[in-house]
Amino acid sequence: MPKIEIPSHKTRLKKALIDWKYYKKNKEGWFFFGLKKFWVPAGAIAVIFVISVFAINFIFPQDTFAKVKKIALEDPQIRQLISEGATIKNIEITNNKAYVLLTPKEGLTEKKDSVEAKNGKEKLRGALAEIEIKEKRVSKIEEVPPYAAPLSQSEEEKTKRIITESEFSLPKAPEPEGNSLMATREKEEEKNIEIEKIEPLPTYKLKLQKKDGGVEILPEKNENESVRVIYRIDGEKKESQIDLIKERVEKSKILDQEEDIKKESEDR
Amino acid sequence: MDLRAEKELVKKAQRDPEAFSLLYEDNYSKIFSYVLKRTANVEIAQDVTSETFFKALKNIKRFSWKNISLSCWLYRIASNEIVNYFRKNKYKCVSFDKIAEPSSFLTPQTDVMEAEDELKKQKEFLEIHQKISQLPDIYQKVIVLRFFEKKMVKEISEILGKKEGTIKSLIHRGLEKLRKLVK
Repeated sequence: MPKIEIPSHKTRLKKALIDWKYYKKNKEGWFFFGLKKFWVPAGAIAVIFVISVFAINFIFPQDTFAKVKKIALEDPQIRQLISEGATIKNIEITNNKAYVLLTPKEGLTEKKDSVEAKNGKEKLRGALAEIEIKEKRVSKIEEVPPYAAPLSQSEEEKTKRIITESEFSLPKAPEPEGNSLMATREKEEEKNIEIEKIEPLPTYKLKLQKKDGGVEILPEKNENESVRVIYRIDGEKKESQIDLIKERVEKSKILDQEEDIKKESEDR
Repeated sequence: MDLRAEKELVKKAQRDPEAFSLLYEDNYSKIFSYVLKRTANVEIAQDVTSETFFKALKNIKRFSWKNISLSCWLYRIASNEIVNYFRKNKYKCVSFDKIAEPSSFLTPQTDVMEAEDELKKQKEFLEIHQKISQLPDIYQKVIVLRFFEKKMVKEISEILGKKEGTIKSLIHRGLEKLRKLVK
């Protein structure tokens, strides 16, 4: 069969195809089409990323934290600690393990001063529990001691100033600090305040921080909030508890009198 | 044109009419000839060829996903369009009607009349076509592609999306059926 062709159809069809709306549409919308080609997938990726981050950081961890808390609260040792006044302070999750920091409730530590703690009237405890998330069990509980930062020179000076101001009822210095300090020193010398011992009061203001696949316990602040000071004034031995943040004496007692009372009762 | 160059051109043709023109020039005659041999009607061959190219242009973005040459893809579209033509009571070439100036179609073109005359002269072809057209569509496709378009079995398998073995057996069975009809 010979080749049959219709040149007019070929030409008209070609013209029709090129003039067709397909190219017109693409020509007009090319700028936006190009943008769409880039922005639609980029936008979709961004949305997926945001949702993933949201899900990972907010939904699933919360769910895991809730699970961890439930496992912890089912453990008898932890329940005992909670009944003694502890509370879950912090939870960290790392390497399929959860770490739960339990510390005495805020306010409880303030009620019990160092003397009470020493007498062993009531013992407040902190603890760190390690939880195997997959096995849903508490694998280890360690007692956490309260933390006291080493006493700094400024804290020592602040303590002396507060004690002196308290003993002589000096008003809080509205004048420059140097003048106030000079005045307290003069009074100290005059009345002969002799500081025997200043020791920081340990606190359970602690937090957990991830480190090397595990956790470490750190103080919330690197400075002491309160100190216990033993000093002599006019022949009397005193012990005071000082709040360094509020800059005031919280508690104070005369030790010599207590010692005398004790001796008398022993003699009787 | 090798497959890679053709794919580049297809990609370019998505927004460049010039690139599409090159592809069109390369394939128009093949497709028109195939449709004419399948339909034995110049008018229908024009309409089906037009519709084939409109569909190809409309879907050209999808072409890069198919691991076949453009001509194979066009043959496939054309084959489907022929089926559509015979399936519908009244075949309507929608795309071309919309874009073309009606006046140009109302006036019969000289070359169209010449082509019709030429076709009428091909008595042997028309006789065999009359027999082939009685076969089921799949046999018509394989016989026309193999014996009129001189396509290899591999090419036919790509056009129809069937295994080479299937094509061979379809050709064999088609010829047997045709022989029976001719006798």
